[in-house]
Amino acid sequence: MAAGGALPFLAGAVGALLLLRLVLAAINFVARRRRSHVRTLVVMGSGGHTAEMLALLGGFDLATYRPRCYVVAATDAMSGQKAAAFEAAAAAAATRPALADEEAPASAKKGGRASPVKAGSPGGQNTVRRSPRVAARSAADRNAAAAAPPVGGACSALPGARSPESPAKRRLLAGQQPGSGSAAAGGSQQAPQYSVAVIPRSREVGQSWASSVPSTLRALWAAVSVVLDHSPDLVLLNGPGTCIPIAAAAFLLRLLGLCEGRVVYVESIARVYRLSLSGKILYHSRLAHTFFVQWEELQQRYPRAVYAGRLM
Amino acid sequence: MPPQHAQRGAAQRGDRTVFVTVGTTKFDALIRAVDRQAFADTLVAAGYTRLVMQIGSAEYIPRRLLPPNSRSTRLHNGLAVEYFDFAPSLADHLRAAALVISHAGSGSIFETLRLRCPLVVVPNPLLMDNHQVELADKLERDGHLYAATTENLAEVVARMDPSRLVPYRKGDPAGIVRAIDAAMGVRPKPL
Repeated sequence: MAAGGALPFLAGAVGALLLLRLVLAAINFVARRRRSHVRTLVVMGSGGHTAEMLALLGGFDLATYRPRCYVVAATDAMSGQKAAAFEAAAAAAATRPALADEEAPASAKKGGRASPVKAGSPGGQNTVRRSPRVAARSAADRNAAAAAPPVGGACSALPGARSPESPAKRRLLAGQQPGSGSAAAGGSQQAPQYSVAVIPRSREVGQSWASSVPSTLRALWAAVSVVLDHSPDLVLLNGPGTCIPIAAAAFLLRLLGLCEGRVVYVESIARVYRLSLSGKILYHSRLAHTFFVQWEELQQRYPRAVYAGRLM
Repeated sequence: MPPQHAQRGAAQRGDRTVFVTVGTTKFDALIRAVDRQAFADTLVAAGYTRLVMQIGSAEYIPRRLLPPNSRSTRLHNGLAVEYFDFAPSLADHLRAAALVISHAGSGSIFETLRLRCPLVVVPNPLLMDNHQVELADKLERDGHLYAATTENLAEVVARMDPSRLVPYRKGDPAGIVRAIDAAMGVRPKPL
């Protein structure tokens, strides 16, 4: 009897979900067409992975691939610092040509609706954000929060607090005309648009399998809120740690029509003949839309992978 | 001897320095393999005058070559020996070296190769599934470096010929970036 009653209800629920998904996908599609830049979520591994990721980012037109949100694991303060240093260097490099050549600022040309360089770009709030659900008490967390030093005076670190703005509002701010933004202190400096999100590790080295189940769920939950919050057009992954929860979160939100972001994985240059565990998971599950490897040997073994040169 | 490589260390202080580095890792077996009189003699025979060890978080302190509580010394065979645990940047040490002996971390490997410094890489056999061997093996096969183990390190250093090493061409993100640009419908970055 119960089953008979539940069936129409279930069908209705599934139908409603499908409809919701369709509507959200349509909204996303229109929003994406209108956007002139690519919201980018950068998931930082540690050590050599960070170096490779920053080498990759160095090749991008950062005026287009913005705003950038760096995801770091809670126990990896180093990667947050390196991301902040990269952004500071990028900001310095962006202002130099603008000062030398005021008539044709290279970064303003490609920014679409972005502001002229002279006035500085508004909405460049560089915040260290954390999902409120994240267990945020560790000292490593605080290190990572301190890892984004003020850049051009337009940076506010809000450790332990959610960004006051909703993602939608931040997106609006990023497209606004200059003058009204919070970056006035930066003067002629183009404030880099980036933030750092800290999420817990799914599994520490040596952690028992049973205890890693709740911590994995917690990491996944944090990843979902980060992806939802940043609503990226592009998710860049290249290594262990937080990479799988973010890919899974992007996939789940894609099913719901809440994230149309493209997931791109770049296997480490250290992998010549065999994929890493993260690589295997992402390759076989097809959670990554595009899967780069850095050696031809590896590409031959994994035909869906793409070889397009090396980062280091 | 290759002029380019041989003069690297000489440019500094007339020294030909061997720099041993474990990066941020713990690799006691490598320090143990280097901390031997026989190894020091091999270095002197190969024309090196100075040995600098960066031991990282090693528990093993090089006490066979160095007197207790001393971080530098000069051996009877003339080899100057010193060690330290960490430095903010190893770039200066790498630049001053005539030969680098490194763990197989990709960061250390590519930083050394970029500086065109002769390199012997020793993968850490204790690492899980030891994927480090892959990279060292591949780069040795392509002639960019020599791969060794903690057992045959001295032998490799004695018989290596740095002039036969092939310079590594630095990687370029442009290929991957262009592919992503195309996938995202973004105009490629002007050069």
